[in-house]
Amino acid sequence: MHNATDLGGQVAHAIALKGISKTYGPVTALHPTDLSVEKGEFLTLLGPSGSGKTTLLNLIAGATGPTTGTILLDGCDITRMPPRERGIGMVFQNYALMPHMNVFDNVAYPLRARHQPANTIRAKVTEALDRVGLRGFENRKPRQLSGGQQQRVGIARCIVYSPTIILMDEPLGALDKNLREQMQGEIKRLHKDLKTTVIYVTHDQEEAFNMSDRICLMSTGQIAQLGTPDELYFEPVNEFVADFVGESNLIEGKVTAANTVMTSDGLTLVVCSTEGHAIGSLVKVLVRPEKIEMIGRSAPTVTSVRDNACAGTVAQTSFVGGMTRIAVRCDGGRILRIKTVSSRASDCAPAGLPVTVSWAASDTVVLKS
Amino acid sequence: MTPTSGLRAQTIFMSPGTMIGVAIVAPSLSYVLFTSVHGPDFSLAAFDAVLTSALFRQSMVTTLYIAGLSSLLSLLLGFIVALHLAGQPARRRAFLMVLVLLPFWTSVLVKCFAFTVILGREGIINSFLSWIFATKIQIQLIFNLVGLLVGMTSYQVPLIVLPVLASLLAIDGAIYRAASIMGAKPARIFWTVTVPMSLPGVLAGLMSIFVMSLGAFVIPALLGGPRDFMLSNLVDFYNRQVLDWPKASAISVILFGIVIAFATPAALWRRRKF
Ligand SMILES: Nc1ncnc2c1ncn2[C@@H]1O[C@H](COP(=O)(O)OP(=O)(O)O)[C@@H](O)[C@H]1O
Ligand SMILES: [Mg+2]
Repeated sequence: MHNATDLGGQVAHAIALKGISKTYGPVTALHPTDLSVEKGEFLTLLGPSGSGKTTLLNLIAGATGPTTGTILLDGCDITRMPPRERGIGMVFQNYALMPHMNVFDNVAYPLRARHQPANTIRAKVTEALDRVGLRGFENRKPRQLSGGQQQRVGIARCIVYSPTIILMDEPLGALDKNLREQMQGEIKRLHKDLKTTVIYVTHDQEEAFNMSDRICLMSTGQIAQLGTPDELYFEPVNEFVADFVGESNLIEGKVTAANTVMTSDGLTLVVCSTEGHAIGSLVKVLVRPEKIEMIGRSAPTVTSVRDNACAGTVAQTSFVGGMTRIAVRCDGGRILRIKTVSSRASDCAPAGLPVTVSWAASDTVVLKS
Repeated sequence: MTPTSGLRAQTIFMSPGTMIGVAIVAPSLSYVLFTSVHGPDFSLAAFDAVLTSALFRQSMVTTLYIAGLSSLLSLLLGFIVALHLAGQPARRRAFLMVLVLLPFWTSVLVKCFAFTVILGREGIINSFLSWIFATKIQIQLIFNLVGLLVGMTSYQVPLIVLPVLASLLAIDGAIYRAASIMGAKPARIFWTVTVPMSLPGVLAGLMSIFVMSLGAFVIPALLGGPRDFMLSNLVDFYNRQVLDWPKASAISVILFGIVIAFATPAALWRRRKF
């Protein structure tokens, strides 16, 4: 794809998984999966709990062996290589620091395992601690540090030996929200500075969107969709992706003509494209709540005429900080969720207000039902 | 839990022990203490006589030596067993744990008799060796230091496996994974993770088996040689052969003092936070 080097006609990805799968007895943790990660890329494995993210990461790290498939690291088969020889770095959710060692010894651990001379170790540890802002904490034990500081040690211990690939398994999962956002920024900055490949695991959609070049959305041990955050949001391939990535309105209907979908209650929707959906097939039309415009029916002027419109009444309004969520009950009973930038309570639509909602055809996606 | 409620809970759980202590152990100990200083009038003559006797000093050295050596040997064996158990799936571990504890639940007398059958001059080991080498072999494995150590370790191993296993199981598996991903070989992981992180359990276990073996009586009497005379055996000697009860009591009091001296730091160590 982007910047992979060409090795004798074979493109070498930072990491390439070919038909990799993992079963635990009767449980299939990961179905056969292909995945390639480019050098320097920040790829996030996103998905609900139990979707196989950790399994995939452990397979790359070598903590567990795959049931089938091969793993290529920089073009070399490492499927059977023990973890210590892979030269991969990993950051853990619960830090996994050595509790009996101080910060310095924790960060020096991978260098000592590589038998580096003492002065090299001192210099590299100091540099790594500098990068994560923990200079001066060398003699503290992990239990004398806050969660955020412990994870910084975890990151320092990982970058200190300059691995070409860094795996992070929900590294911010145990931290509170503000700290999490701050650390997201720090991890992104480190990624930019060090130009390493990062494979990052999270179940937090915002975190994934904030940090990633590409997102691999997983569901029940399979890849649901692999793409840029943009693609996942605006071109979800199925209902699961649409629902997991942001909020969505899904309107069921039947394709009646090119770019036209008719709902069971007779509403005709103009959609962006019905490519790939035969006429007569059942589909769901996705409209994001923030793409729906709402106008009070008593308003003196109609500001815009859009492709799709439907009349209804406001059913519920909830003010959630910067955004206001409004549920509109359309004539016919369907509930549409709308999200708008908040205004003062006095300007808000009260429940029962008759309104017209509308959205553009270009803001729709047609999904298989 | 607040410190007060913790203390209260502790008191409740300890009260049966306290009651037994007050009702049974304390009177007998007091009586021993009383006997040790009892003569025509109060005197420390028995202590004086005991502390200056060569027999006592030799038994004292033997006691510390046997207890120390057998405890270290048990630690070595017990650590290997615990390490193996920690690596097993939970169900298999529970089954193996029963096997470890089975000899512990067996009477010491029965075990000692079993060891005479195994280790004796005509015992299983010697018979087997004789059969292998087709000559009569009668290695002295019993009524000497070898027999004594075999008996002592078989008694102590189950007791040290438990705390060591608990320490090993408390180590987060992610730490092992982290160490191996960071490039550490198994030997380095063992010395930098397994050993230091199981140290609290090792020290607690070591102290408790050492303290317990200080008072060993049946095993040295049945499996040890004539020179492996431990303090408890000396107490028995003064009690039943010499009938010098003040001396027997004085030795008991001294032995009790030694036990307290080793047990107190061990108990304090266990309270320490890792
Ligand atoms: N060691 C294991 N033994 C049995 N099942 C496992 C094991 N590890 C993971 N699984 C199962 O595999 C599935 C995926 O787990 P995991 O990769 O941990 O998911 P995630 O990290 O996305 O939450 C889950 O259903 C889980 O129960
Ligand atoms: Mg996980």
